[in-house]
Amino acid sequence: MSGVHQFVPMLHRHDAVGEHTRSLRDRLVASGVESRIYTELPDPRTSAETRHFRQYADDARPGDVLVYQFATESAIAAWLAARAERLVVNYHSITPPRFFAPWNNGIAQLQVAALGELGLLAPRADLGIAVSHFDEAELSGAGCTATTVIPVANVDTPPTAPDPTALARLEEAAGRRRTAGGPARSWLSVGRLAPNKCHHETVAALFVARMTVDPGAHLTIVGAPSEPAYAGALHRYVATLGLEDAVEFVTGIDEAQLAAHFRAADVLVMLSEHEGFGVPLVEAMGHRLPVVAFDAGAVREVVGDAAVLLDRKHPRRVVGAVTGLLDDPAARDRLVERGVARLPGLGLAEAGERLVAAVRGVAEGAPRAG
Amino acid sequence: MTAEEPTVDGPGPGDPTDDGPAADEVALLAAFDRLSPQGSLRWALTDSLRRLEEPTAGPAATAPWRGLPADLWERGRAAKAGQRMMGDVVDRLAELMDENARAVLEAGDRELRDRLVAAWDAVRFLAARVDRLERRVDPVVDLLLDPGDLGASADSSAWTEAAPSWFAAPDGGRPVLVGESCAALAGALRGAGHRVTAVEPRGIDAWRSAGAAPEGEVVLGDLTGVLASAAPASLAGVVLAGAVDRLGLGAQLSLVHDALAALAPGGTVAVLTADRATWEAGRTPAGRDLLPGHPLHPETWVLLLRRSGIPDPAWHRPSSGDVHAVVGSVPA
Repeated sequence: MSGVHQFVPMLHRHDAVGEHTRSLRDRLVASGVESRIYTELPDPRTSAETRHFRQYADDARPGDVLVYQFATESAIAAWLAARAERLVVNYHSITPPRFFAPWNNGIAQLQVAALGELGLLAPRADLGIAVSHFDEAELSGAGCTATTVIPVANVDTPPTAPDPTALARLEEAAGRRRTAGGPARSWLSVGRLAPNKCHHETVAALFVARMTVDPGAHLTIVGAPSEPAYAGALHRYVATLGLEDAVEFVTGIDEAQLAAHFRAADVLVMLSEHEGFGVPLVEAMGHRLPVVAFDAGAVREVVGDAAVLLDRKHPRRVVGAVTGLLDDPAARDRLVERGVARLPGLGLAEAGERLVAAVRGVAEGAPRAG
Repeated sequence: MTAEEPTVDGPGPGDPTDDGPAADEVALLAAFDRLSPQGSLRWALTDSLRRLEEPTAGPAATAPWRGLPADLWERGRAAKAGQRMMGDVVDRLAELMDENARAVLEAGDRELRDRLVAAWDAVRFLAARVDRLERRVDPVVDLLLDPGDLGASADSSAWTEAAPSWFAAPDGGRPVLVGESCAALAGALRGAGHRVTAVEPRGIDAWRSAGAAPEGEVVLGDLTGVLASAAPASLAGVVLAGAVDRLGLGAQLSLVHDALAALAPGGTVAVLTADRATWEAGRTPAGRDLLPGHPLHPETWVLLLRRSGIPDPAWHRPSSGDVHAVVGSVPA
C-alpha cells in the first residue's frame, strides 16, 4: 500500500499532540505502512525525524493518505485543503478564542484563524477522528460528514509508577502541614497555565477553604506556563491573597514525578471550562485519587459517575464539594473504586490499534467509520 | 465512551441550596480579573506593534480584539491642557496616518492597509502612554498648590560680580545662555563683553518689575525647552538657574545633558542652586511635599557635572545670600 503521512505544525516531545503523532507513526511503521511526519516549523529536538510540509510535493506517491493533527492555526491547513490526496483530520480540540482574548490578542486571533481552518478542512476530510464525543460534535458542526471517536493513544494504562524519592518528599511535606493543625488537605490541579484551565478559580477556592474549614490546605498546580500573561497573573494573584506558602507551582517534571503528585494528593480539583478529553482525570482515576471537577467539555464522558461534577464552581461551592467528599471516607472510597472500574471502559489500551486501523481503512478505501 | 450520571456525593450538581456566589466571592474572583492585561495601554501598544511586525491576512488582523474597551483612548488622556501637548502632537500625527490609511483602504490595497492601521494604532497608544507619562512627571503642582506654596525664587545677585570670571574671554560669536531671575548677572556678563541670551518664562516684564534693565536678547520660554533645541556646540556658556531648583531629578539630569551638548569646546556651565535648608524653610509643608523637585545639594551637582564629563567642577560657597554656585568647563 502507499504511505500514511502525518502533518503537524510543530512536533514537540513531551507534548500530548507531539507524542500522539509519534506514537501513530511508530505503530504505522510497525504494521508495515510507510509513514513520515511533516511540519511547518522544525523543533530542534525532533527536526531529525521531520520534513518541511512543502517537501511532501516531491515525496508524494499515488494512493497516499494524509493525516492532519489539528490543534492550532497553521499554513499547513490551507495547503492540505488544496491537495488531492485522501485526508484524515485527527482533531485535538481548539480552545475557543474567547478564553485568550483578555490575555493574549495574538493567540486569540490565531484561534479565530484555526476555527476558520477547521471550517475549511472538515468538509474536505474523508474521515475525522476526535478524542471525545465533545470534540466529535465540533468536527461535525464544522462540516465533517464521517467521524469516529478514538481516545488519546498515549496515556499509560496502568499508570506510571511514582518516583519514590519525590513521593517521600511530598508525603513528608504533607505530614508537616498536618502537624500544624487541621486536616491540611493537599489539593492537586494539573494542566497548562492557560486561561481555559481556570486555575485561578481553584486558587480562590483554596483561599476560602483556608479561611473557613481548613487553614492548612495546600494546592499544587502542575503545568507549563503556556500563556505567560495568564501565568504571571496567577502568580500575582497567589501573592495578593497571601498564599505563597500554600500554593506551589510545578513544571518540567517527568511522568514518574507527576505520578508522585497524584499519589501524594488528597483530591484532584479541575475547574477547566474547556476540555477536549482531560488526561489528568484519567491519571487521577488510575492513581486512586478522587476528583472534583467542573462539568464542562468532555469531562462528564471521561469520568462518568466516578467524580463529583459541579454545575457551578464559585469558591464556596468548590470547598463544599471537596470537604463533603473528603470528610466522608466511605463516599470517597466509593468514588475511587468507580474510577478504577471505569478505566478499562475508556478504551485507552486499544486506542493505538484503533487509530492505525482507522487510517489504514481510509488508505485501503474501506467504508468510512461512522 | 458513554456519559453516565455523575455522582452526587457532597453538594452535587443542581443543589437547590446553592444561591450562587456571594458578594465576597464575586470580589475575590474580580481581583483576579483585574490582573488581565487586556485593555491596558501597555498591552495595546505591544499588540499594535506585533500586528505591525506580523501582518496576517484576514479581518482579525486589522484591529485589536473586539473585547478591547471602547474608551481606551480616553482613559489615557490627561486632565490638564498644558500636560497634553506631547500627546496632542502625537495624536495629530496619528490622525494624519489614519487619513492615509483610509485613503489606501479606498484604493483597495489590503496589505498596506493592514500595516497602516496597525501603525496608526501603535502611534495612538504611544501618544496615550506619553500623555500618561507627562501626567506622572508633573501631576499636581498647579492643581493643588497655592502660589504661596511655591516660595520665592532664589536670589542669585550675590554672584553678579564673580560670574564674568567663570567664563573664558568673549569670542564675540557664541552667546552665553542665562537662566531665569538672573537679570543682574546677565547685565554683568554683558558688561564684560559677552553676548548674552537670557531665558525668562515670565517674560521680560518680570525683569522690568524687578528693576533690571532688559538689555540684549531675552527669550520668552523655559530653560529646558531652549536648551533642548539649541544647536550642538553653539553656546560659549550656560548659567543654569531657577528651573534647576524646581525640576524633578529626571529633568535635572536632562538639563545637564542638554547644556553640555550645546556648549562649544572650552565652554562653561554654572549651576546656581538654592541652599537646600533655606529652600525648605521658605516653603509650606504642602509645597515641600508636592513640588516635583527640589534643589540638589552642591556636592550632588559636583558629582553630576563630573560624571557628565566636566573634569574639575568647583563648588563656590556664597559669602552672602543662600545660592551656591557649581562651575566647570568642558575640555577645549
